[in-house]
Amino acid sequence: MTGIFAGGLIIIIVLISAGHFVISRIKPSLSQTRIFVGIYLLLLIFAVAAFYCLDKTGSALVLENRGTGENEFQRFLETGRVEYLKGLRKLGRWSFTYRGQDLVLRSADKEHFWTTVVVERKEAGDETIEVICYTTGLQLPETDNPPLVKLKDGQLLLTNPPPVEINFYVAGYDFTMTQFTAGIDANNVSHELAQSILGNQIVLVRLPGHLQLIVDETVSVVEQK
Amino acid sequence: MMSLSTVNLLTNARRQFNYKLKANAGLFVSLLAVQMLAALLSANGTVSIGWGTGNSVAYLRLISGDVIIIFSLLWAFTAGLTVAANAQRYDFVFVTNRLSSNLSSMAVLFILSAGGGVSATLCGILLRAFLIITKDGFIFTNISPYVLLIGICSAVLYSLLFSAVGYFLGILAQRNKAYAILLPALFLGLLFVEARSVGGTRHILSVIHFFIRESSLLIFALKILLTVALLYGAAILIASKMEVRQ
Repeated sequence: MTGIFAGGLIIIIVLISAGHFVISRIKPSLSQTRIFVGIYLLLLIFAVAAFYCLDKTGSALVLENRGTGENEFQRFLETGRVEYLKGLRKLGRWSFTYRGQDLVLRSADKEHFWTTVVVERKEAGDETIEVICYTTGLQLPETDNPPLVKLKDGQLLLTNPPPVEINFYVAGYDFTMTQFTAGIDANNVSHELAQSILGNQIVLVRLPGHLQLIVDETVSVVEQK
Repeated sequence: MMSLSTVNLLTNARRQFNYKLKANAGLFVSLLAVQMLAALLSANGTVSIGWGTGNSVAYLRLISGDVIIIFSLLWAFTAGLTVAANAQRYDFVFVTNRLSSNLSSMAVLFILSAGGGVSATLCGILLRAFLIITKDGFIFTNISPYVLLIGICSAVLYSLLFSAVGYFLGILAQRNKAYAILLPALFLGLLFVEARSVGGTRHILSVIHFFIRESSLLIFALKILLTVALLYGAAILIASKMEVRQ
């Protein structure tokens, strides 16, 4: 701790010394200064206008008033009812006609299937299996990464989506803003925020009521109550 | 034939202010350079955290203008030192006294601090706007114009404080060159002692908390303005006891 503190101090002293040295040597003419400062001011004004225009046109996503949704997800896990999840978005939908009496649900590659599967029984036995993938995450091209679903030889095969590494840039408040308002700053960026952006993915499997379901250990299933 | 004209304090201070502002105009260019450097350093995010779900990993980089503001505050501090050091050189262009010289220097520092605070906050917006346009997967909290205004006011107040501290130290160093070594040494020594002490009174930390833990902008402004007034008052007192030219 003391080492970090001392390091920080040394950096500050070096910066002040270097700054003082540079400042004392920069001596542009008054007309040059006016030009530099004028251009810079125009650039700053343009940037502010662009920032607020981008906000309004929705080129970037606004994170304001977004909760983590963890409580809702917990409630969903307990009941299996997707309606408890707010802000659900559909990532993919599959429909299969199936006339068999039983169905095996398993991961296609024998690895654990990461996404929680919810099984819903349809009242009408219409011989179709519907699979819908939802996410609670923000709508970004990189986060829309649904799993693969196949029906083969009486088995519903679920494949994990290909691994992705996503980089998000979150514009937080400056410390001069957070001191007087409540906003996201460097100190309170948390895993909940990241989780809120990435969200939770679920796969809803709607089965005919009469169908016997056999669940493999590679898949975690929540039965809807 | 000789004429004797009387120049009042404010007229004299205003003339000196105009002259000093032009003479120190280079400080604006150095501010621009400092802010551009800070923006470059902040472009990849000030904080980065990783979070995984299933086989996906999200890396979250926080973009803020904190580094730009901190660099601008350091610039304000060095601007205070520079204006105090240059005051001696510029003072004797005019028929002047210590009070008008100090008043004009303070007015110059007010202008510089205001410029520094406003541009530091707006440079942070420039950085955000640039990244929104150039990077994919950008998410931002909605910085309302009201929050932006608060940020600008707060940055200007911090700049005022830092420039006043720099000016006060600059004047002290002019009174006696030994202060230029003694004061930083004392400050750093105290900081180290306080950082190592557990449970003891931490004076410097208390002073820092006095400002940064204030959540009301109005009270914060009062605290800053009172401190700045005290620093400038002390600088005027010290300067009035100095030799005409050293």
